[in-house]
Amino acid sequence: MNRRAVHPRAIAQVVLTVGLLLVTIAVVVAVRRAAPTSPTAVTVIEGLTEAGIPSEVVTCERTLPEAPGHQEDIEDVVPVGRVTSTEVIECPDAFDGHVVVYVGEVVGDVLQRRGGAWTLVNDDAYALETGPVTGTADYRGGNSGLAVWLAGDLHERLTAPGGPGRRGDVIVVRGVVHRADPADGGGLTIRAINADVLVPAETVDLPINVPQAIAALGFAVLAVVVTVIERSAARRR
Amino acid sequence: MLLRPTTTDVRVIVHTTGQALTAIGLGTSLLAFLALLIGDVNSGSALTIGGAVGLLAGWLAREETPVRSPLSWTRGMVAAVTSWVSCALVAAVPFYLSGHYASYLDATFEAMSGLTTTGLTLVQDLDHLPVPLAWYRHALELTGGIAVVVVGLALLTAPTATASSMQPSDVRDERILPSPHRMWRRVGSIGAWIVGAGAVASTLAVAVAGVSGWRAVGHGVALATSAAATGGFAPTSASVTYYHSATVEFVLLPIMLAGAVSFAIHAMAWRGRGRVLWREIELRTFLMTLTVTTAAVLIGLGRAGTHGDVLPLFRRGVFTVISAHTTTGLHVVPSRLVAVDWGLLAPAALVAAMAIGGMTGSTSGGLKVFRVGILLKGLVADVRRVLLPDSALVVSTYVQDRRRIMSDAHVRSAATMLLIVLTAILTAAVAILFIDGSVDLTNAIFLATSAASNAGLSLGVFTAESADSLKLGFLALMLLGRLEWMAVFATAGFAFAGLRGRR
Repeated sequence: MNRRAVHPRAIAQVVLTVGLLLVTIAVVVAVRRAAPTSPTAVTVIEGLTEAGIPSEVVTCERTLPEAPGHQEDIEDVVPVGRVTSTEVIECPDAFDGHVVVYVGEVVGDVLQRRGGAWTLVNDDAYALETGPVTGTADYRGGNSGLAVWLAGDLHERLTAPGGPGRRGDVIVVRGVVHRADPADGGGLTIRAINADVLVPAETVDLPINVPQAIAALGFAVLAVVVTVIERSAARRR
Repeated sequence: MLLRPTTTDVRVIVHTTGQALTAIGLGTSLLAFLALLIGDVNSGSALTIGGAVGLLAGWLAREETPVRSPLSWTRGMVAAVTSWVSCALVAAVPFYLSGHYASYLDATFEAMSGLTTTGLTLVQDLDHLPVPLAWYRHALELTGGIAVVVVGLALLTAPTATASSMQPSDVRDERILPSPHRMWRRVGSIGAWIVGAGAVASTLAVAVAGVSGWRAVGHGVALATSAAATGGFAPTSASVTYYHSATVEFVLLPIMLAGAVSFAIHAMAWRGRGRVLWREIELRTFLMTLTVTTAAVLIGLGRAGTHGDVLPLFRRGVFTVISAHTTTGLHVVPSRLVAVDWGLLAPAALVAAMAIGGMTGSTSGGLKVFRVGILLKGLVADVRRVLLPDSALVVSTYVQDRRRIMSDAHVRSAATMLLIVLTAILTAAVAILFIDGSVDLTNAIFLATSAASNAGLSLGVFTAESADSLKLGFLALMLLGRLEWMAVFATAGFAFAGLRGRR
């Protein structure tokens, strides 16, 4: 049988590739495990109700004209009081025009307009329970929130919205749900009657991940060395 | 007779994959430098590791396989698959290290979603994501978008305009493809104009909406990139809804449409061939399907009573249908609301829009309007054959760059592709129903179409908590949809020939 000898360069290539793969996996796993955490103050808010808002019963009936008479009850009765974004989004019809209490973290920007400001207020676990995932590595899924219109000077009570490295103000909003707010081009909104800061904004002081920085330096040096060798080899060719 | 691939074939493919990895490595390294410049050491080090891994892997692939052999169609197709997969695996490193992804699978999914310009996301707590990582998401979309156009123009369209073909033209395999560097330059310059002009307009619109200072620039560039690449990633979890601005939405519409138009048509417009443009089959079909699906969505919204006034109905409806048809995936309505508050007709029309998609040689996904146009012309030709006398000769033509005669092979191959896409969507929908019992049929079909068409719109049922098998399935579906199935078939055939072919 005619067997061709394996070229030494091919062996070196396989060894290098497997080596790089193993080193990369080991380093990535190690530095991810070594990542420091810096949880913000615990802001678990449960059972918040506001005095003066009468409890009201609403029924979720979806509008599906393609199926006449069809009613899809998600929750038979929802006492209007404190609501979550999930409840409102799942059944906007039920809450349309009702006064509700909504609690969440202001994130992103306070978009000031004539007569007030638009805010995005998240009421997911990162806003109300754990703080930003960067500081905790406690995974609770994606973000969830509602658009809130802070009329007049209500937005001036805010200290800072949340974003990278900061959990924003957690606010309590009392307002009216609009399923298709004409002032927002038909968007789902809450128009605040009143808003108060429950927990002021807090910075996430995340320390530098030293093992990751050292690994990055090592990889960068290796990449630069390889690039220099490749360039000089190309010049020789 | 099936021929076993030669060593040169493998070396060319490895070499091309190495070039793609090097490009990803260089881009990531540049972002790492910017991250360190703004003082974000943790993001900077995560991006540095990702960039260095890309450069090292790229060097290994290129250095040990220095070939000057041309890139034929089969080699190009296989290289496209290996490049996309290996780039997604490497690009996942910074995502994983950021701590915003629960597993490496989620990070790889995000990278693949960006590189295939799909826009489905598994990021946890996007609203607190460090700025450099947000840039990175959009950079991947832009890279993927340009790569898609290059592959689309070089591999998926033939000189004989058989973009509808399952198989390339008879001479395609021997045809030497244009230099990737030349293609990159040509596509890059057109893309730079679209993204550049879009970024300026978006930044101004976002600033007017109330986002201040450098954040306005960041949001503007991110939105323009996402729209031009028909990607769908947004700077915040609320997507375009966040801005509460008709101006922002209005600015994004032409950018999304420009992304869905073939770069060949952009080049023709650039050269001042406007008269020919209007006769182009792709442009005509695109306008027709866009009109029909928009009308269906608006009627559906009207029937569902979602909006009491006409203006909001048009504003939400038109943006959403253009986002779906161009397979962008930016949204102005919370995802779940489409499922619970838009009735049945409007979501069904969105499914149709996503399935059709944009033009060949653009950044958009889907079946592609060219194939729809060919199928419609084929239908008209058949009806004419029935109506005319037996002796009559029915000849159908279409314009793609120049007037061409449409053959039965064109119609057959377009129909075959339609069958493949529909089968894939239905199979994926059934698989979703099996894996996740809480998802209903409407949601399953919507989600399957969205992934297979690289649209990225979702009804809120696919999240980071979804089963790993579902994520893996969507990963495959995004890649299959992006490379229009043929590339993956070519790769499977290449692998099979490697095992069973003759020397």
